[in-house]
Amino acid sequence: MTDYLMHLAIVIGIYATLAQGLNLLLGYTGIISVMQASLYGVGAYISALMASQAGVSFPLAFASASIGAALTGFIVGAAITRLQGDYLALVTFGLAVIFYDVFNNWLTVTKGPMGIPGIPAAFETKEAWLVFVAALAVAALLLVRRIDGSPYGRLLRAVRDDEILASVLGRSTQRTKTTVFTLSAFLAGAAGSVYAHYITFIDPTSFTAMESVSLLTMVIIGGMASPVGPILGAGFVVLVAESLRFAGLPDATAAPLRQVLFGLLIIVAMLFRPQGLMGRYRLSK
Amino acid sequence: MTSFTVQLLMNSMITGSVYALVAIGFALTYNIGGFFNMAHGAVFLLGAYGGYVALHVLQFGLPLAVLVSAAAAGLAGIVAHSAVFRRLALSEAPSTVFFISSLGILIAVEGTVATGFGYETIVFMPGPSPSSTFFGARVTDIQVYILALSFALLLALVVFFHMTNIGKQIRAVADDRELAKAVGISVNGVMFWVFVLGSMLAGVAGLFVGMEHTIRPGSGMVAVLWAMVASIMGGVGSFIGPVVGAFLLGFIENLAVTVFPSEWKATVVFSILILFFFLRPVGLFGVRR
Repeated sequence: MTDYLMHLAIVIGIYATLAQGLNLLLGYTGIISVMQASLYGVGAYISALMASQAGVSFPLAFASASIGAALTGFIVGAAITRLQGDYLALVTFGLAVIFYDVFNNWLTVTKGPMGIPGIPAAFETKEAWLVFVAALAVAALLLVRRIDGSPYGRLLRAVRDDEILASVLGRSTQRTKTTVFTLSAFLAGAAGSVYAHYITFIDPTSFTAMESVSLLTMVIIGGMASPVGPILGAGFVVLVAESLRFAGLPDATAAPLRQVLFGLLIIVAMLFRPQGLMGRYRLSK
Repeated sequence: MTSFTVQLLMNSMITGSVYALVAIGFALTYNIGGFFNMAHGAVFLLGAYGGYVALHVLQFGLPLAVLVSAAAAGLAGIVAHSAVFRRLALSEAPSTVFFISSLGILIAVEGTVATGFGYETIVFMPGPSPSSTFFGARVTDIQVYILALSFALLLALVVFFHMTNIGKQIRAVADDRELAKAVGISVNGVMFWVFVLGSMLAGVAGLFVGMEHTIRPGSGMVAVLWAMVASIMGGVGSFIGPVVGAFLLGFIENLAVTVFPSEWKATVVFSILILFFFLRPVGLFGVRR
């Protein structure tokens, strides 16, 4: 039982780190991205391949995954952040499909739908994992809190609230959006690496656009532009999903029901509480 | 023309006509509501599964199944409009909120359908369909039916937009919202009809995709992404644009599978979409505003 609770806490910690990255994009900068799970996948694949093919140690694989994902995020961000609002969201949708195709079809590297099994676990015990993942989630929280109070955080909010005004005041809004994209990809890559070494198996189904929508749910429910929001959101979403299993539903029923629930949660949040549980910001004109 | 070319053009016409049915509603919602409606994939899905139930559970014939698909999707469109989008419009929510809400509708409906039918792929038409040859190209009877009905619907739509009062109002609002309001057209009323019509067309397209290929709960998202590519290529802001974009997309897709392995089809299509975003974001027929 304690093992199971610790497992839940570890999963929540991984998602909290991921959602924290999306919070920087959606909450602080107002960018909807449906490719956060793709960058998470880039981190997971880099880490898994380095560790299982080249025998690289976890710390090095973890660092490479974070940097590799950040680099991918930088390239993507530099290319697409010149697009505005909803168009940007559509492009991230397209990119999510392309990334999924690459994970699924580049058989010589990713093994496609078969996935990569036998990724060496980084820690022996659940306790050690819990400590590590908690430290990671706290580090992500501190990073976002730090950004929240800094001039950079104000710049992000300025771009979100009035992009034209921010650029009139001499800020390069495109550069700002690119850096925040890179930063959020860095967090996604770190989370992906941890996921790969914790579960010890990855396949493309964990890195779909639908997975990104779950992340959006976490950020929206938890509250946008709030450093603790993503942690609450991740906890809420994971626990709701688990409670369906506890209700005695078989997986074949629980999975679609979970989807229905997330969809309804998003709609209700948008209709009645667009700022989420803890949010200090509501999407507005 | 070689039979290869005829076959390619034929297949492109069939694919394109189905995409056009989905793209029209998607583009109209963007024109009039000002947001990208991901819930368009949800009505597509309900049309497809509604048609499946009509064909295989209720044992209806094809014409009746088409009506069931259209009705299921149209009804879903009305519910989505009155329960969610109309409220958001009244509270003057930004397009981001519309977009995220429509995404919520899409995954809720996808989950609902999966609860009933599972995540498995469903085959509507087991076994080979009788076919005939046309200038050396093989065309199945189902494809002829799809092509004929799609073109009839597109034609009916042209008549609707030019001859009926509501059709003209829709065009007026799409053209100049403020001016339309000033002469007393209710934007919300127009929006209602856009949802009904767009959803019915998408629902019929769902049935067609099921008949011609297969359907699974994930098909809804695929359909709306295809509609999005067609609309962006043709130009969301124009009426003819999304239709032309849909046929262009059908051609690109059928050409792509002869050049690249078919599992990279989506990558080819979305790469072209991204190129359009950078080179001509208003689309082929769009007007810069």
